[in-house]
Amino acid sequence: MPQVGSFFRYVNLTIPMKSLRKFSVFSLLTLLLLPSFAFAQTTGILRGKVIDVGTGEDMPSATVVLIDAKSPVSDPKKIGRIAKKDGTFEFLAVEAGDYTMRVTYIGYKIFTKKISIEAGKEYSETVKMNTDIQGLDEVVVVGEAETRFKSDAEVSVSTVNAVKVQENSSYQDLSQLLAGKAVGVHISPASGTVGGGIRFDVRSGAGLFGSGQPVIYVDGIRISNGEIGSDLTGGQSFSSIADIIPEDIESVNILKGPAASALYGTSGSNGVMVIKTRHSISEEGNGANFVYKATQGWNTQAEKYIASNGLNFSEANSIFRVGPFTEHSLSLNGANALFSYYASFDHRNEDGILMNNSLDRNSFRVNLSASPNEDVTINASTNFIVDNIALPQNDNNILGFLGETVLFGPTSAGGPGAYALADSTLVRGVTTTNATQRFLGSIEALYHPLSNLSFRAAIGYDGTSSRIDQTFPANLDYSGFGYVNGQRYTENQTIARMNIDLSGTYNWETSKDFTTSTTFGSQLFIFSNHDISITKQDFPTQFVTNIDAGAKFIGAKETFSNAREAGLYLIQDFSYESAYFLSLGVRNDYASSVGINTPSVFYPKASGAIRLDKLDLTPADFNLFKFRVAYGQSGVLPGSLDGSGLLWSAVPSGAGRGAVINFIGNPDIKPEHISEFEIGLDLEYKNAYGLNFTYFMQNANNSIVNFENAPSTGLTASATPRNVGSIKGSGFEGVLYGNIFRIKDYQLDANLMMSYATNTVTSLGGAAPIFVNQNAVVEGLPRAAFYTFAVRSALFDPTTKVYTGSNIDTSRSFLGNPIAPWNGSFSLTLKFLQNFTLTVLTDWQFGGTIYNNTRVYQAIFSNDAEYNLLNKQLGFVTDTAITPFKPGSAEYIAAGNKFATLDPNQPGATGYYESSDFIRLREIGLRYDFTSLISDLLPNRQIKSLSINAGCRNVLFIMKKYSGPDPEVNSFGSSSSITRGQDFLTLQNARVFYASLTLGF
Amino acid sequence: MRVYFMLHSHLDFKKGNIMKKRNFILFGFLIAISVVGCKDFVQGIDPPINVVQDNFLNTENQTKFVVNGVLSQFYDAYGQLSCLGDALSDELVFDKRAPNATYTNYQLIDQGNPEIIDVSIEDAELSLGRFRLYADTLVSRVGKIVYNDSSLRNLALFTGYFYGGIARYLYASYFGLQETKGGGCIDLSAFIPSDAMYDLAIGKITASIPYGTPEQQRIAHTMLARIHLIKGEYSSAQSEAALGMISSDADLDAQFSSEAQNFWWITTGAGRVQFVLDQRFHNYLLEDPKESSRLPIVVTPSDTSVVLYVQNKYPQDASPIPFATWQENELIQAEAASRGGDNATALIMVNDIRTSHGLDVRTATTIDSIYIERDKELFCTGARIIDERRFGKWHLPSGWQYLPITQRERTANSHLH
Repeated sequence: MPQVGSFFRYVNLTIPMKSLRKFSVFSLLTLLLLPSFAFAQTTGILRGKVIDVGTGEDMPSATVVLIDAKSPVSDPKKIGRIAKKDGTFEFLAVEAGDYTMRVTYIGYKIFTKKISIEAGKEYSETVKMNTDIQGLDEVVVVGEAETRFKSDAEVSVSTVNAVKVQENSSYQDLSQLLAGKAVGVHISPASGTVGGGIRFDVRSGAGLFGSGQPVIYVDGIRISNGEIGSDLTGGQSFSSIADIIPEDIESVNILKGPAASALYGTSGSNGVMVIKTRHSISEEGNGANFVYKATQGWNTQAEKYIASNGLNFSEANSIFRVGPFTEHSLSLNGANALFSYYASFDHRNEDGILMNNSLDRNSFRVNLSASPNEDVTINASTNFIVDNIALPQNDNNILGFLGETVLFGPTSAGGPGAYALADSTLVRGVTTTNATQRFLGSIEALYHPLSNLSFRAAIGYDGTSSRIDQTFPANLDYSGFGYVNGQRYTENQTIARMNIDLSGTYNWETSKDFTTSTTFGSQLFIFSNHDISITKQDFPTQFVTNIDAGAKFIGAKETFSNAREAGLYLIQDFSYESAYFLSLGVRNDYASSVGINTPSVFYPKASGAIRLDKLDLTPADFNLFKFRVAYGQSGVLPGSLDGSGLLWSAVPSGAGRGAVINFIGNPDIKPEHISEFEIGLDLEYKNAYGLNFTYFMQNANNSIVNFENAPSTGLTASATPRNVGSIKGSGFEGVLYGNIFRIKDYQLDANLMMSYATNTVTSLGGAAPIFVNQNAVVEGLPRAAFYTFAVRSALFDPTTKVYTGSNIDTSRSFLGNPIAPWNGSFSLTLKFLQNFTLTVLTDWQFGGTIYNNTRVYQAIFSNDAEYNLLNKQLGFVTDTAITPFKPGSAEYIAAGNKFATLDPNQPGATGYYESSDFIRLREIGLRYDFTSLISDLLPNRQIKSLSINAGCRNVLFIMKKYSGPDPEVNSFGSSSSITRGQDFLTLQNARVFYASLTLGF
Repeated sequence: MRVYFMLHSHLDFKKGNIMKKRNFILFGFLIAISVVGCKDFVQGIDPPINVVQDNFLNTENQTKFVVNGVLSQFYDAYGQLSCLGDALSDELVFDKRAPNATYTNYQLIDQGNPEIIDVSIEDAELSLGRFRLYADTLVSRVGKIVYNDSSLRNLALFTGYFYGGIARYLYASYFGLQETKGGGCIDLSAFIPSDAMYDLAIGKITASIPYGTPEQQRIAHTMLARIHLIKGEYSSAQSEAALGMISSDADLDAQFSSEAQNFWWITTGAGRVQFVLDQRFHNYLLEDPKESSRLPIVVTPSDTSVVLYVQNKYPQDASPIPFATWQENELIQAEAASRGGDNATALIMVNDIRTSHGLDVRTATTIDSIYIERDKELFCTGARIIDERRFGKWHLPSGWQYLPITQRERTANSHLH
């Protein structure tokens, strides 16, 4: 049972500070006046005990509040107590009258009961608390400037309690923290490279193009979440969210589409991720809490290459290493009369499973919350991160680790042998690093001039300065690759993002059953990116690598871009009898990237919910039975220059700088328009079993299609954007959860998540289909579908019956969807022997396809056993040990047809399109909590908490159809929304072992 | 309706009305200010530093910048086309025994079987399209500018016309709609066969001559001579060549730098070896070691014992690629003379060229020996693909003799459907 009471925290979440002050004054007055009331016999006594209904255990530190039923809803009068160690509480002088008793405890449902106190009488209550396994009584974000209890939310919001999740596990980054825990949000790192890119696929992906990524707010700061740096490693770039520290995160709320995120404006069309970092868990006067967590772990190769992955599989396996990592997190939190605080330092040092891949991250955070007077609350969040990441060469790269080993067949098989293109010293010699210094800061001011009027002003800033360096050392001979006497590339990028949010909310005093509020707000967003790079070659020595030591200037580049967005919104919320909920809103949106001929854009939203359980329309065992429906509109902004006309830039040439066309814009361009409708059902039975189900439909029109002009026009520096396309998507999300059993010292919880999401391109507005590698954007197919000229059989000479080539389809056909439409996870949490907790998470995906481009090139370089054998069986390669099949025989025809499907020169050779279905045991974690043991041994609580845990991530594939090592990777990194599902020498995700110790004092 | 009533009843009859009305006035004022401010706010961004709007270039002092743009795009397009063209011819060979030969599409080009979705060919096609546009746009831009400096105007017009003609020459020489049907499209036009495209080139280059310096005019005449030669108009070729480049004239080169690298160098040279040379170039050197002055070749690493050779004509990333030389002008005259039966004149021309390289003189020449002489003289300049076709000596029994117009043009250009 949790030991730390959090009365202050809870009150801070749910009761305005002004009310808290009044509560204290009220309590004081009650105590002062107690003797006179007792004399007059106008008061009664209430005693009670708080227990866990499942285990019967006492619940010390539970918060018990009596709310005067006569007081106004917007400014209720309350008296409160904290339950003692044995769970008991007592109110010795309660003025006669009607009250609502409200008992709260973290992780438990809110208990409420109406009580009438008569003068001179004594009452006794036993409060039986139910666990809140799904967080129904927690406040969640349901839209811009809107929060609700999750049980009352009109939209589907995925929530992750990061504190709870991390009690049992250790995570490198946000993707690991969230993977498999947020239904409707599929999270995948583009490779197993530490510090590499992370992709979020939210529902069906909303728009036709654009980044397809959600907007992320951390403590109100709209942070950068793209990849940093150009592609220097063959496929992967540095992730800008690699430096968001999971240990600092308290909760994550994910709004999954315009139905919820409409009022965030155009940038919120792919959903909004609202991350809240930790704050004080200590109440005023209880001193400070220090928490130290140390983690030691090891990254290891998850999937060994075997013979079917290439003849030289042992050579490929030899490049992997065990990459150790350590993390130290120290946090301090507390509160005094003026403010509460949370401060943390986190250091993580990690090596990947390949050489030249490492992460060294230091984070400093201070969060403050202060109330200078009873009408004003100020919250500040500051985070400074110093991050150094090194990435290895891989993917489409002749200097890649995997390229030089996995690709080439041994010379005995007619291949060029490992390291055929570059010696291993050359492969190891290239270093690519990114040093980032990042400041995330926000200040929020809440002002309550009247009890029912509040204002919020917040400003958030994300300032990132990063320096990317790539060095080909001069002592190694890279001249065959164009790097004579070494090369150094250095790039400095400065990104500044600032968002300013202003809003005012008025709560209308109507009746106790009917409440309504009006919110008017504005959002401003400023973004700028300044990037400058320089490349030089011909260094005198590998020991001197400053850029001026390079004798040969290769090139320099500088870009500056900036953009602004603004929006005004109005929200009207209604609630009746705590059972009917309705929210209406509109937003007028402005952006610098829309064409100068385009006015602002208008987005409406509406959502409603009915709690049948509150209307006594469902059996009493249903503590939640809610229907909800929501509709919203949003959009996808054009590119920052899309609204401009013809732009020219200066390019270098042998004749000096010359003017060439750089960009072809469209002054009439406007945002893509996206609407989403969702309908859902949330129910919970006996506070133990629950179901969330949501069906959604997304429709995008005016989608921005970049028209690729014909080469003969010359207008090909960029494609011309036009609002002509459309795409629709739909799917469902289901969560089934339950507390299987709960008895003293034992508890088993289960959670099953399943989602289906797909989309179909409905129109390209006359534009030609877009083909990028094997992926395509074509009407009638899912975005990024594999769509090319398929080869499913061979051609044979009609006379000689000899194989003559691949039978290539004359038209393109659909060869699979790189984005798996079915995703799901199943998790179990077992508490046993009082202090042990075991967590197991399994996740899966079905219905997707991956293009095994690695195998294509293995076939070319004689490293594919099956392809080599077919070559011999068909008589193309002589091997005395193998007798070629006779042309015309059934076995010859079969071999020929198979050979054709593996023709490495044909992009549509169907043998390389494989199912990406898998079921993976993703996480196992075991924790032992010494806290109760310590509290017995150390009654003075010199040590407040102590626990140890150990775990494993990417434990094993229970099922995997892909013949390569990892079906989740993408050789084009995480930022591309079209080139998806491609594996070309891409590093597999690592298996991670770790153990942690957490100490609180 | 109930909600409506309740809101207003509250406003009108509750206590604290004055305070709340004041709040509403403030609320309304905020909305009004915000609506007006938002549009101004988003339009208040700083302009990008790396681009300029088109109309800003319509001034005299921007002319050199725009002219250089045409030249830079010419260098890029010619660099790619000459290399890919020679890959399609019998000059370059894609040989996987060269360790860095990994681009399988290059193998298809070498085998005369390129795909119409070939990205390398599309890159070259895009570059040529831009080059043509920049040259043509320069001519029309001059009409919008009032010049004080006539030499600057002449430079702009010569560049626009001359290179507009060169762009058309490149279309006619390197691209084709079908395997043996050369030509191209101009700005979404119907397909223009090579012969007609050459005529367009002649028209443009002829129009440039009045604006050129004497040296530029000679280069223009050499180009006209080359085009007439390709068209089989030997008499015209001879007469144009007579007005063409002289031995004191500098070559017209495509120029490169470390920032804008020679395509040969990064494709088949010191930068990286995707293609090696046909073995005959080594044999030329065995026959006459002095040929190394115009056939600079070097051994490149091989996975087997077979010795592979790669060009060293462009040893640096900034090495220039000759586009027009006085030697070629003489070769044109020699060929035209030979085809007219005047091998004596042809011999004089050929020996002029050979002497300039320190080679021994020939005692006789024929049209066949001129073919070989051109192979050596125009080594690695993209001439071989044209010569193989017009001499009727294509080295493969079938397949593409031009780089195919790519799918991108075929899709976007309704005339090609």
